[in-house]
Parts: sequence; structure tokens; C-alpha cells
Amino acid sequence: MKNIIIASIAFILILSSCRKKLDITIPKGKEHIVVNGIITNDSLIKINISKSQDILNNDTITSLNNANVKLYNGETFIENLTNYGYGNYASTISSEIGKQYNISVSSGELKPIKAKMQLITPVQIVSIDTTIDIENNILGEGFASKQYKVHFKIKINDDANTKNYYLLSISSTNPIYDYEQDPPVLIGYYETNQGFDTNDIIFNGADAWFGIDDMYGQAFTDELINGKQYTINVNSSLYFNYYDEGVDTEGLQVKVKLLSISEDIYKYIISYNLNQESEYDPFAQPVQIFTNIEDGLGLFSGYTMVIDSLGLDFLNK
Amino acid sequence: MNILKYLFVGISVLILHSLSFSQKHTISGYVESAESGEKLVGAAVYIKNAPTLGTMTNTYGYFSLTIPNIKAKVIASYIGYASQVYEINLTDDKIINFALNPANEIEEVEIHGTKTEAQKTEMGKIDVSIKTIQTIPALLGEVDVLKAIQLLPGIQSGTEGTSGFYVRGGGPDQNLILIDGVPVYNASHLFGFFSVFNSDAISDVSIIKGGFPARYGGRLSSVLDIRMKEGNMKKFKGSASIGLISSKFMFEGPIIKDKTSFIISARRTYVDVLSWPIQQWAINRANKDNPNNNFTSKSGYYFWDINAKVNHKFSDKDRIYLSVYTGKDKAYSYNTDKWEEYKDEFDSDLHWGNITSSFRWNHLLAKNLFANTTVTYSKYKFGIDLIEKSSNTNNNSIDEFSFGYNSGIEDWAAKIDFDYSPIPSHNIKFGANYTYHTFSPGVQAIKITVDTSKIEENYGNANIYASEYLAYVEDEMSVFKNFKANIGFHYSGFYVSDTLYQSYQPRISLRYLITPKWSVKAAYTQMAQYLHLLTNTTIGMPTDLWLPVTNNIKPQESTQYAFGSAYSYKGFDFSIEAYYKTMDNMIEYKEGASFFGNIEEEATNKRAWENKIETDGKGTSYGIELLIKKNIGKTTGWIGYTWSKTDRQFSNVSFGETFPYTYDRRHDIGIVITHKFNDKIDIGATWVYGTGNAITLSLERYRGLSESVYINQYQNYENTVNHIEKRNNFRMPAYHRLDLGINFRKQKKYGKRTWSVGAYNVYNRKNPFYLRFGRDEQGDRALYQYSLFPIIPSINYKYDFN
Repeated sequence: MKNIIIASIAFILILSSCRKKLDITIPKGKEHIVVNGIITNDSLIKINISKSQDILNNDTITSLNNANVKLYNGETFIENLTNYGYGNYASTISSEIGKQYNISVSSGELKPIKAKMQLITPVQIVSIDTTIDIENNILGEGFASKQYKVHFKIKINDDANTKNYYLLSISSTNPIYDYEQDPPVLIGYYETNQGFDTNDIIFNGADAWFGIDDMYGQAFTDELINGKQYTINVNSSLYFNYYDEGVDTEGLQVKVKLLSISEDIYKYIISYNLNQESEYDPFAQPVQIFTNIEDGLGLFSGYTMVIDSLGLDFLNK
Repeated sequence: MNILKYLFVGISVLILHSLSFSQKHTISGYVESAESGEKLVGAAVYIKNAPTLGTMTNTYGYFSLTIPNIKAKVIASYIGYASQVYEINLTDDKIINFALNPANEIEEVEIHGTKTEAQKTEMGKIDVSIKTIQTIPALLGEVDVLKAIQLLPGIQSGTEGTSGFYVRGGGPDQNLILIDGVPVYNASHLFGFFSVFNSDAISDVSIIKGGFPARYGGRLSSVLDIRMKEGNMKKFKGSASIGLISSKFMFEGPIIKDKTSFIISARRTYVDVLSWPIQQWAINRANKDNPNNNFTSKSGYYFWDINAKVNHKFSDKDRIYLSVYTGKDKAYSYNTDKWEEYKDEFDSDLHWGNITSSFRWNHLLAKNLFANTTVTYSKYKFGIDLIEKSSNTNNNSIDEFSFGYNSGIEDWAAKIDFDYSPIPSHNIKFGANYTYHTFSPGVQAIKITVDTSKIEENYGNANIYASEYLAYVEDEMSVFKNFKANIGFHYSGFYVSDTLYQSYQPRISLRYLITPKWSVKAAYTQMAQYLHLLTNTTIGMPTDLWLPVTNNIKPQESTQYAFGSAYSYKGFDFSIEAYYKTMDNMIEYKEGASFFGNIEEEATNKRAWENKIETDGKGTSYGIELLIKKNIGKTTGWIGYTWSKTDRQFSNVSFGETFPYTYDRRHDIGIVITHKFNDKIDIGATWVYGTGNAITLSLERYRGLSESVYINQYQNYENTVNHIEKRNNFRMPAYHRLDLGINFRKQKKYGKRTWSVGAYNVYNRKNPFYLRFGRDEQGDRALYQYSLFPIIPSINYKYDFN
């Protein structure tokens, strides 16, 4: 249906339109310092600094390795962040919940920027109940691949005093085998993000999938559940591959991660996804991506997290 | 509310006071064209040598003038017609019907006594002669009322070539477009490139941009009042014309001479019909190359419309009118493909159209009390139908998939308007209106048949039913010498989904005559609008949805202040107006929201559309408009200039930042000149200039957040995003264009033939339609401007039968 309308418009345009190249020049001084940094507690403060460039400039983005990056706890100077190449900078101290971290960045003639963030205490997962809806076994020679359609009921206690923003991510560990050995030998585990689908009202109305620190999940707010105990319902298809003889499956886990993200991260996620969707729709208004960098672009913010790990035994209930 | 109370009491006192006058009598009647019997709207009727004792004919050509018992000459005058004089010795109420003869337009004559812009109390109202509109050069020769009014100051065109218009910073939904008093919800053919109004059927066009009299309401920004011709009471006349894209005819005449007349006009495009042989040739070639196939296809686009009107005069006191407009656009494609025992069929069509009809009864209750009762029906419908069918003749199996989408709006309305002139210093209008709306915000129907099994599902928004009503009273009064005021009060209400919205709107227009030809004016207007147009495109799409206020979506409201001055000199009207307008509760699609609904969501939520929109929009618009207009003589036309600024603000759009409206146009110029050399040749020229539209464009790109903050040499290319400073941050290049047209007329045995030759965009300006990033020959990113219309010549042949 939409295609018919677009095709009709396109037909008219193709018949009659003509194209002319326009020269646009971004006024000097419009280039910005770009800071990307999402911090979590008890970790070093790591950010990436680069420079925005003219939309028509085909060069790769320029990383800023000579920037002067100062870190403050509130108004108190802590240290200059150290550059590790490719625009990457890090602190020597670890971040702590409750402290406000300010940064200032200056580089050459670019306008200096400022940004601030604070980590909040993570909201806890009260309990997780699971039911298995579907179980498929795909058996190969010596190997098994199992798929479980798992329904998760994740109970949380939202804090009534604060406006909370979350990101829910589900991952699983899978075994890594040394296939040079016969039979293959389990040498470790790797973690993969598992998507989920849900009709839960708290996810309603926004495309909020995003990856933070290699955790991919869907963000939501406490708008409908502020101060309440609430059970989030999601379904996830979990896949496990393992060698079926003599394998220790104790290391296989499903991890439910509840990230307490900042409002700024939530705004960034929503606007970023809309921006990406609108980029390819000629009839949609382009969408601005949120930034909390004063006089610059990007995001400097943080999250805290609780992880509830479930052993594979729950799959055998 | 106190102001309103005093206003109401004041008007009541004035009415009672006026009723107490005695020793006066009333002259009343109609002013019509002697040639056709058409009523003349806005004709001046006044007492010679006492211009303050005068009035103007109303929308139905009726006037009523109550004056002291005197011996005097009563004059009726109207632009383009010779004045007519009656000598009276008023001792009793008198009915005088004026029949004015057309004046010789070649002579440059100043018609004394006709109300000039300076003398009118109204602000922001412009009347445009249909004769002028018909002389203005038009795209593909298709005369277009809406494109003509876009040339006036304060009225801006939207996307190139389209007939949508934007008045004093308002959106296209804020224009009340009336045809014979009935709202038209979608005034566009061919995705907005042509309007639905056939100029052959139109008698009068006027637009009000501010200083709205109390009788108008329901929209924030303008009222475009288009009146259809009534039909010639004297003799049969007609015309037929052939143009590049359409042909049309008009036929009118008396059913009973001087009692009953009719007019009918129709037009249809024929691009589709002309293209069929070409399509067939291409299909035959394709089938020849592949003899096993038997492929057929027919596709195209057309629109048609019909206007018809009948009126009957029972007596000088009673007259009835029945008018109908209907029109339809359709884009279609029918394809079949046969090979061996298989046959595939695919049919699709996109169709939309309006029906409006009205029944009016004019009744003279007393010599100075005129009543008009109207019952109207209006419907706009948009639909999409898709059918895909596969059959196998061997086993008689048929698989079928069909999809339908329908949306629209339907109104039934009844209203009564009174026009009361107790004394010359007061002209009081009052009335009431009730409208029953049915909104269909979009229903999708899917049917799937596979062999014998069938699935039928309907998704979409439920119909919404609403009642809208209004009542008004206004008094155009002479407060004291040279000072006139139109003070009124408009009340409206809207009942929907157990929610009642009400609005009390005071309206004030003041005019002080410094000299008989120079005045200063001021106006204050409050307006409310209960209907919203939901659109996510910048062109007038038939998919745009009309939706009512609900318990979650409040009425749009505006307040407008206007100040101005008008001066008339030797047939020229000069006017300058400044305005400041605020608008509240505007709506817009949420960022990224899709026009088409999520089927799953709409299956469970019958008002899913409400979740797609932002409802707290605010708008501000201010500007200055200059107009120099010449209505009489060999050379007529106008020069209009507007300086304006318009912005919008929504909490959740552009992070709450105020941004320029798409049609925030700092400078807008429209020049229209028509010149009649003689009865055989006349020319028309228009030149328009407008500051480029505001669009949203990325001017920078930068590194976006990745799943991992740290990057390395392998990730350096990843996740680059475009930076948008704010909504509508970029100006497209300015728009300007010159159109020329020339008409060659010749009297023939049975009438007059006219060849019209013209050119749109004479100097072939590549005006911006939209901008898009692409890659140039070297593979580098570049910004490209796409233009729609190069120079387009046109030719049209018309024959007017006597």
C-alpha cells in the first residue's frame, strides 16, 4: 500500500524532475568535538574523542589524540585522561556510584566542550521465573543443538523516588571446543546476546533496541510502573550447541541483565534508532540524535547493572 | 469572560436601541447582472451625496437599507458594471431590484461610490475577480483558483506546483474551504497539482486571513469562500474547451425564464486514454518476444469533476438553490499474465474524491430581515484496493489475496443565518449551525483465499462520531462619524466521545476613516478548530487524515492581532497590514511515526492513531503584508509583498526546541498583471518569489556510539551518523518563476472562440522541489537539488456559445 503511494509519487518525479548539484559549505567553526563514553561502576572511565566533519567530506572520521581531557569529581579536578590511540582515553581511577563526573575537552581551534554524568544505584531483580514453551532437539553426529523458547517473568522493584530508565538484555553462554582433539575438548565458553520478543506494555511505543558494552537489549522507562513491583514478561529463543558425550554443562548459563541507564542514554537510544529509520524514508522528517555534550556532540553517561545467571538446569524442569 | 458579557450586553442594547427608531423606512432588494440574472455579491447600494447612508449586498445579492423619509437618489454600483440610479420619495418601505449592465472594460472608469478597501471595515479580506483568475497564466493551461490566491500577500504556496496554501503561518488544515457554504476537505486533484474547482462554474472568490467576522469559525487561519454561478436566468449559454490535459464544458440557462435557472459544468483529464495505445504497443512487443506468454496491462490516472446548480425564485421573498459538486481521482493498474494453464491477475487502484451538496432557502422575513436556511452534505473518501489472483485451469484452483484501505470524513449540517439592518448605522448578522461528523480514520481489510480455505480480517480505527455546533452575532456599526466597528461574538462547541469542548470567541474589527480614501484599521480575533489534519508529508496527499479532537487531543486555538491602513487613489487600492498570531494545541506525527498503522496494534486498539501524534504544538507567526491592487481599467492586477516569520514548538520534537515552520518564508512576492489591448487580445503575466522552504538537513557527520566505546583500527569506519542541528535548519534556494499567457478572442457566428497560449516558468528556472544527498561522478558525496517543472508551454481552445 505504502509502495503504491511512493511509486505514484516517484512516477511523477521520474517523469518530470531534473537534478542539479548544489554546493553547500558548512560555516567555519561548525565542526564539533565528539565525545562517546558510557561508563559503569567500578570500571575505568573510558571515552572516545573525535571530530565531526562536513557532511560532504568523504574522509574517515578524525580521532583526536592530542586533546586535553580533564576529569573532575564535581568541581574537584581528579586527573587528565590518558590517550591510548584512535581517540581512546581512559582514567586511572575507577568510577563509583553516586559521584558526579565532569569532563572538559579542548583540542586546537575547536570549541572546548563540557559534559557530566552520575551513576545511580542499580534497581535489583527480585526474582526470575521461567517456563519452557517449545523445545527442539537437533541432533547431529556427536553434537546436539537445542533450541528453547523460554518465557521469562522478571520481577523488579521500581524506585518511586526517581525516574528510572532501564535496558533489559538476555545472553547465554555457549561452549568452545578444541576440534583438533578427538573427541573435541571443551576449552571455554563464549557469551552471545539473545534477542527477545514481548508484548509487555512497558516496551510499548518505541524502538529502543541498543547495544551497550557489547550487551544488546531493549530500553524502557518506569512511566507506567513508577514505584511498583512489576513483572516483565518476555520470550526468548535460546540456542545451545554442545558435544553430547561427557560434556560438563555446568558452565552453560543464561544471563538476565537489568541495566539502570541514565535518562540521557535512553534519549540517545530512542533518537538514534529514529534517526537511523528515517534516513532511508524520503517522506519522513530526519530525526536529531540526542547529545548531552555542551558545545559538542556525542554522549557522556553511564549505567549500573545487576545480572541474574541461570544454570541450564532450569531448562530441564 | 467579563469582556464577553459586556460585549453581549452591548450588542443587545444596540439592537433594542435601533428597534426604537421611528420615521424611517426600508429600501430592500437584490442587485443582479442584467445580462445573466446572476446576483452580485458585495455590490454597493447608497444614497447619492450621502455615502454614509449605504450598504453592501450580502452573499446572496440582497441588501436592506433603512433610512429617514427623504427624497433621494439610490445608486447601486459594482466593479465591471455600469451604476444604476433610482429616484425615490420614501414614504413607505420599498423594494428595488437593480439589474446592472456590464460596463465597457476598455474605458478606464473610476466607479464612484463603490466601496474601496479604505472604506471597508473588514481586515485581511481579499476579493479576487473570477475574470482576473481566468486571465492569469496557469500550469498546463488549467485555470486554478487556489493557485491564483497563492499569489496574494499573506498566502503562501506549498510545494512547487501544488494547490495547497498556507495563510499567515497556519497549516493547510487551518483553511476553511467552502464551496457554496459547504466545506471541502480535500481540494486537490492529482496529488495537489490541480484544485478541484472548475473556474467555469465559479462566480465569486474571496479569502479572509484575519479579522474574521463572527459568522465564520471552525478553522484558525483562513476562510476561502467560493460561490458557484447560479445559472443564467435570461438565456442559454455555454462553453467548451480543450486543453493539454483536460477538456471541459459548461452549460447554463433558464428552465423558466426569470424564475428558474440551472448551470452544469464538468471536466475530465485524458492522459490515461491517450496513453493506452502506447501501452498496448509496448505490450504487443513484449508478447511477440515471448510467444508463450499472453500478457495484458492497462494503467493510468484520471480525474473528473462535475458542478451543478439549480435555483428557483418563488417571489421577491423566497428563493431556493440546490447545488452539487462531485469529483474523483483514480490511479489504476490492471495486469494479467497467462501461460499454459496458469493465469495471474493483479489489479490495483488508488482513488479519492469529494461530494458536496447544499440546499438553500432565502426568505425575506421582513424588509430589513433576511434569512438563509441551509442544509448541507459533504463527504471525502480515500481508498486503496489491491487484488492478486492466481488460477490454474487444469485443477480449477484459485488463490486470491485482496487488500483494501478506506478512510474519510462525512458531514451532515444545517444552519440558519439572519441579516438584519434596523438602521443604516447597524447591520446585524446572527445565526446558528449544527454539523454531525463521521470520521473514518482508516480501516484495512485483508482477504486471503487459498483453494477452499478463506481468511478475512479487518483492522483499523473505529469510526468516530461527533457533533459540532456554533452560534454567532455580529454588528457592523457606525460608532460615530468616520468610525466603524464590526463587533461580534462566536460560540462553538464540539461533542465527541463523551467529551464536550466549548469555545467563546470575541471578534472585533475597527476602522477609522482619516479621509474618504484613507483609513486605519485594527482587528482582534480568537478562533478554535476541532478538526485536525494528520499528515506526514509536505505535499497534499490524499492519504492525509482528518481527525477530530478527542478526550486526549484538544482543540487548536489561535489569537490574532492585526493593524493596518488602506488608501485608495484613482482606481488603485493600497493596503498594509501587520499581524501577530499565536496557535496552540497543534498536532504533528511523532518523530519517526509511520503513516500506515501497525496491524497488530490496530487490531487491539481502535484509536491507535492517537498514539502516533504529538498534541502540544505551539506556533507563532507575525509579519507585514503590502498590497497594491487595481481592479478596473485596461490593466488590472496586483503587487503583493509579505515579510513574515513563523515557528513551531512541540515538547517531543527536536527536544522541545522552537524550530522554523517548513513554510516560514521571510520574503514572498506575487505580481499579477493582466492587460486587455482590445476585445481580441489580452495578456497576463505573473511573477512570484519566495524565500526557500525550511527543511531538515544534516550538515555534519560524526562518530556515533558503538556497542563498545573504545574503537580500534578495524572499527574506525563504523557507525558514522549524521548530525542534524535542529528541525528545519536549512533553507532551500529561493523560489521564483515567471508565467506568461496570451488570449486571442474572436467573435464567431454562434459565439466567441478563444485561443489561449501560455508558458509556465518562462525563464526555465530550476526551482527546488526537494534536496537529497547522492554521489557525484567521482563517487564523492554531493547534495543534489531536484526540480519539478522546467518551462512548460500550454495551449487551450475555448468556445463560448451565445
